Amino acid sequence: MNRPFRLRSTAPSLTRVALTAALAALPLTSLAGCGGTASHLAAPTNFLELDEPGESYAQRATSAEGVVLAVREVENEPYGPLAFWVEAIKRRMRNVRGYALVEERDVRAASGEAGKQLRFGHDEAGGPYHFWLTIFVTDDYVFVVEAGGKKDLFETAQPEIERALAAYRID
Amino acid sequence: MSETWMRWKSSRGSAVRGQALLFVLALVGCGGASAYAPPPSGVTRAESYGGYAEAESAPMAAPASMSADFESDSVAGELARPDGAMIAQAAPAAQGAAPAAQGAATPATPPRAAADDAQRGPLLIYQATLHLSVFEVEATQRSVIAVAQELGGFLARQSDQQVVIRVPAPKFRDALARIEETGDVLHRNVEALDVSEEFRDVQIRLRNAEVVRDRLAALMAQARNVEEALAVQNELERITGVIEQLKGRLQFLGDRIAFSTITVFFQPAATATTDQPDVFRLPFPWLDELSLRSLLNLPYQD
Repeated sequence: MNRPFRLRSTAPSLTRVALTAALAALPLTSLAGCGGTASHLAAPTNFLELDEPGESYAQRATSAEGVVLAVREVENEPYGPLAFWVEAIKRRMRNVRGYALVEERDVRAASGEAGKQLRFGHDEAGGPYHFWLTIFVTDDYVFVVEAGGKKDLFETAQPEIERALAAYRID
Repeated sequence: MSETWMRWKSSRGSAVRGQALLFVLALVGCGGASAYAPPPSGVTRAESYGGYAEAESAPMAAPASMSADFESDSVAGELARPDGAMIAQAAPAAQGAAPAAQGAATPATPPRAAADDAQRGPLLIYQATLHLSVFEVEATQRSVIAVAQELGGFLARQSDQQVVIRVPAPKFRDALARIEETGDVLHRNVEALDVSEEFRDVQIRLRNAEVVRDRLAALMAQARNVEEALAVQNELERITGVIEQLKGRLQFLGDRIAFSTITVFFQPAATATTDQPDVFRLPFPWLDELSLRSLLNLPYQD
């Protein structure tokens, strides 16, 4: 079950339970860690949100094993449709970076937007890694949800990652 | 022959001997003097190999299993067709030939039996270069080598970023198709090099050189003094060297014709040749930031 970032499983107390409930009820925008985000990603259990204002990512969270989830929000200016950005990303990753396009899926955000998920694979430091890019496009923004990590660790966390992606919402 | 020898004997100056040698040597380079000889055994005489007869270079689209979209933004990409017909070819003459027999080819001793094959078409050397994505490279390399071995070929060279295999020419297309299934093919280049003219030229030069060698051997037997013997001996040694070179070249060409070469790189084509038409930099810097390294490069937290 997904839960908000920064919830810590310590000994329960009345105050802590109340705080937890309050946090859970808060809009998920507070999870991003930096203002101005236009989407919400609830990180899987055991993932911690990173606080990095001003960086490339609107949100980023990591597991203790180093599997990382992140959201990149880019102004869609000049406007390009989903097909344009998917093709641009696909070519960049394959032809320039040498990533293997292992699978390509049509997806839909929890808020209803149609998107595309590109599942890449790449060897880093001699070992295989997974790198998923899930792309959504609105009139104003291009949203890229990135998920990556060492292959075996990523596959262990894959069910949780898929649940988080399925719950991803765009305002 | 005897007339030549008499002229040799009667001459008193080196000029006359030189003329005789020139006559003999002229035979070596007399390309049109002999009839065309058939290719050596084991050399596959390719019937029209269809698309392979022309060099091809095409950036590859996404794997067929994921996308039937083979479109490309490069002109070369238009050569590729989803059904793989780009590399469709007629069955080579030696389609059923056992790979072992091909591997045992001895191009320097052409049998008459291959004469019929010689009339069919060009002698082609098939070569292919594939750029595969960098994912699970070790396992993919093992698969590529296994393909070569299963088709009667062998591993020629291997390093971290590339593997080179040789496969019997009739299995070339099959090998390419199977290798392309082992990974995401980013770019493919296939070419057929027509060496018919060179092969025939070398064969003719070899035959003529052998004729000259035989004549020199006969002259050697008739030498009556040391000076004559040494002069013929020197020329005999030279012509023997030429024969060995020509045989070596024939053997090399025969080997390249009988076994096609497939080189598989595990790196983006863009790093090898920056002028690849499918590498286009869009004016959106954030696209360049997309990578595992960016994602996994986590900042220290206060």
